[in-house]
Amino acid sequence: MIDHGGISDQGPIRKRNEDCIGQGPADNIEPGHHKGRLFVVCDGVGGSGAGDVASKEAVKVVLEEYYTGRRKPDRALLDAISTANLRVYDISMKADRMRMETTIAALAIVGHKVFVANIGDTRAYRVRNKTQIEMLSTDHSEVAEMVKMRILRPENARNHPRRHIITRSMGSFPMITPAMRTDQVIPGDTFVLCTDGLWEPVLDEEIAEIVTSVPPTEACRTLIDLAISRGTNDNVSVQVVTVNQLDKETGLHLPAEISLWGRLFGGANKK
Amino acid sequence: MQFEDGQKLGRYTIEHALGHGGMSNVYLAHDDQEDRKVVLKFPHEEMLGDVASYERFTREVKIGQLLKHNNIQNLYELARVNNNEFLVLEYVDGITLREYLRLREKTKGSDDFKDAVDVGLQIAHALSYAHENHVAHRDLKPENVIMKPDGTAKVMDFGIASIQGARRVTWGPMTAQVGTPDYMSPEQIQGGRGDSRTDVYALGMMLYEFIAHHLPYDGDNALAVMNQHVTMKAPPVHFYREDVPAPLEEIIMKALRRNPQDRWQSMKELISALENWDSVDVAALRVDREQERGESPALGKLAHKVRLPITTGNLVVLLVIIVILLLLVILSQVAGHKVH
Repeated sequence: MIDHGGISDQGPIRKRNEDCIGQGPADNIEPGHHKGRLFVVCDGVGGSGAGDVASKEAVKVVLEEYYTGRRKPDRALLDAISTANLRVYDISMKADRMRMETTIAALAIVGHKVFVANIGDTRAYRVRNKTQIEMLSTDHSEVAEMVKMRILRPENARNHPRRHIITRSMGSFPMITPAMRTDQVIPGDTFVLCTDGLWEPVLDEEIAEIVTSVPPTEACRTLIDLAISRGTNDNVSVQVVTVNQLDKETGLHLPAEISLWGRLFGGANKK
Repeated sequence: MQFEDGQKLGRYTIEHALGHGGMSNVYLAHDDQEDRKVVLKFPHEEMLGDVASYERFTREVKIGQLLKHNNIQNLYELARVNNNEFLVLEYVDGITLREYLRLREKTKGSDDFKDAVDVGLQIAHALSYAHENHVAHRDLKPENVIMKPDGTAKVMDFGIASIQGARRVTWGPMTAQVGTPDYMSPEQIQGGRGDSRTDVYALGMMLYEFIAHHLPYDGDNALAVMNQHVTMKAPPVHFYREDVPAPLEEIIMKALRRNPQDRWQSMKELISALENWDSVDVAALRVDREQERGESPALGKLAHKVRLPITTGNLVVLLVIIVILLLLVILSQVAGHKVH
């Protein structure tokens, strides 16, 4: 049982909305796929509306390919992003190498597991127990790398002059590796996907407070309005997903977690 | 926002677009009222949409208009015509310092030192004047300096970095579009706003490049370069240019200190040093410089002491040779014992 809301707002300044959001499965997907629900947010980059094309194509392809791809959700998600990347790259090559790229954050909830994949600086968060907010995605940006290299303090990244430079994007090369994370879901968990139009002006703690106090759609609107009131001049997109109950239908009959240790030395128990 | 050649904007007639790429926002135009050539700069609309950015922009324009100096490109006005807002700037006939340095690359000569000091002093005077008027440039680089045919240097783009746009840029095949951080001071890289000593650093970097025909920090990508600025110390100029006069070298190296407290504390100090570089206390500056902690990207800790071609590769080869020799000695000893 999942409550969901998603809004993509052009924002007050930009001439077009180059963000795109989507969720699956679509109505035409046969049940029995065992892939749960999928949520995607993309932030396109490129002149003359090319970013718009990139983000829309990426969302469309990922949603299609995920449900019709491999059985295991994590592999299906990686493959879907790979295919989408190649599709965007292909379109840009055919359009005289026009610069056409996009970021992506994708989140799949399958039974008691969540699978998160991202490229660029579009983010996925999990909020637990009302105040514990954790970023499940990994920023592929220069400032994120600078923080890792300890030449920049995390609190100085938000306003850094080079904060808009991202180090990985879909559509720039034929092959790309997303950051990937698998985690457990417990009832009550709330997940948030958002573009930098939101997370730049709005702090993590504020996101946590808002998504745990009002229903998802209202939370999306409140977050976006807050970002705009703080002067964001970007597109702003957000999806909020609250897991009230775990889906009984895992379908995959995922084996209980067996650690590498267990796999290597499982025989020992039998003695 | 694109304008046609010949299009009129109030008293200005567009001649043609300047700059590269499809999204040009700079035009050469004619001021029909003053009968002179001017440059029109249109800010990225998205940067001015919100009130805070706009206020900052107009404040910076007011300051820019106050700056009247022979070595600073004149900002005439912020014009408003038919819903268009744009800066009207002095047209400076010349090439950027970047292009100028590229041309000089081909003719490395002893004039480099005299010319570097001459250009450096012009820029330093411009900046000193701006600093007295409480304006720091913060984005000084060869692309922001124009060299006129008569040798006059003019600094451009004072404090209008905010309108140049901060749109998303990605590393990819178009990485050239990403601005290089070659002239960025450590404090700016670390997220600080910077002050007049940030301009000292950038000018020092330009002087280094002018004379050495090479930048002290070089890397595969912007991150590598920024890391060097923040964690390393520049190899002395003579590493790239053996005949550099020692006083000039020390003046430049002092401007490039990581900690702003260790640099020339003002353009005035730097100007004074450059104008009297024969009487600079070279020994004192050198001792001070050598006390700075850190490795040099070029030579490691030995940079200031020995100039041997010691690299990691060479050391590994040396180690392998020593191990082989030792093994041979041991084996021969063992063989000798067995025979007995």
